[in-house]
Amino acid sequence: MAESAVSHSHPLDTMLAVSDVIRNDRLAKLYARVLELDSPTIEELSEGIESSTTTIYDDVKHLVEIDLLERVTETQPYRYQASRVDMTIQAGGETFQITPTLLVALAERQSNENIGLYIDRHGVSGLATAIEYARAYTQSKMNARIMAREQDIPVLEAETILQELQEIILEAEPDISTSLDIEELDAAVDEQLDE
Amino acid sequence: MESHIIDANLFIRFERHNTVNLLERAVTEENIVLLLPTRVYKELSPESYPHGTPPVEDAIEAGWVQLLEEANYSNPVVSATMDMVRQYIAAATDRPEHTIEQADAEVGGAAATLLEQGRTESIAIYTNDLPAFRGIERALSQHGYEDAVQLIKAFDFVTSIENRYQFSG
Repeated sequence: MAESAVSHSHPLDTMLAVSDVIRNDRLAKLYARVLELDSPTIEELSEGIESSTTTIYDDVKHLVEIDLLERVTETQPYRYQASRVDMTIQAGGETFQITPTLLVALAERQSNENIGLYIDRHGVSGLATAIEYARAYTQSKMNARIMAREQDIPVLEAETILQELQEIILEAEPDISTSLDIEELDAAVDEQLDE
Repeated sequence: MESHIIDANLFIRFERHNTVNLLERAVTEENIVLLLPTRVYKELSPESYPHGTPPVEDAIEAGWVQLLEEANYSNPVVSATMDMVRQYIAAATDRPEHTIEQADAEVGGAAATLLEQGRTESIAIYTNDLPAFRGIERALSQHGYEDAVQLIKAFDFVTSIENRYQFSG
């Protein structure tokens, strides 16, 4: 993976850049598309995106300026890669993580009805929280019933968003471990039973 | 396997993919009935839910899904199974055991109830909740039901059904 440009920026610059993308669907979609295609050219990017090539060119330029995309070739046609945003925001005793997964999920808010509805009901912060549950769910360390209880939502809503986000996580975080170590779990239960 | 119990995650997966009709087709062709624990039924049809809910009522009416009565908590094997499932969920999710409700283990309770009532000798459980399944399997084998339950990983099952029928029209 290419060195992240974002990690070398001042955290405040990163925050401003990320909030730009969070508030702008078009930028979020573009970022998600670059992540999906790995290192596309502008021409490759323009397939499947509704904006005109000029708009895409301007948006890519902007995303490069704020370090969310990086130009990875020296000669034309240039290729671009998405920076691996990894930010932790702490405020009012709560911690939120901003990751590529959150930006991809935001980019899908219009095309994915379940994600759109979830953001309508719980906001971007609710979605960020749901991603943390979904990451644990993908690792067999969470289920919808516990999330439903802790977040005070119906199990149906919890299970639905967990499944939606799991699909994004498996794409955006390919290194995530999805296998459950049964022996380790057996041992943990034995330990509990002995207490 | 003689009986087939489904968890909420299976039905929701098909609903999200708009492929509940493919599930119905597969179940009908295999001539089986999917058993739905009471608690799971309630989860799939919440009151005052603003979005669409899975067509579980239709499935019950059509006969390919059957609603189970509540788990028989007073039976010691049933309650031991549900306790074990709670232990596994607590350990896997790193939550205190007292925060895991008895009803969270309803799929295990339903399986143990069917076995204890002598209504079946083997059960396939369709879920993606691997810790809960491990708890069911372990508890039942401690009570004389070795190899009585089999895990069908819900998402793999959904994929195989969709691949089997999706392009055959």
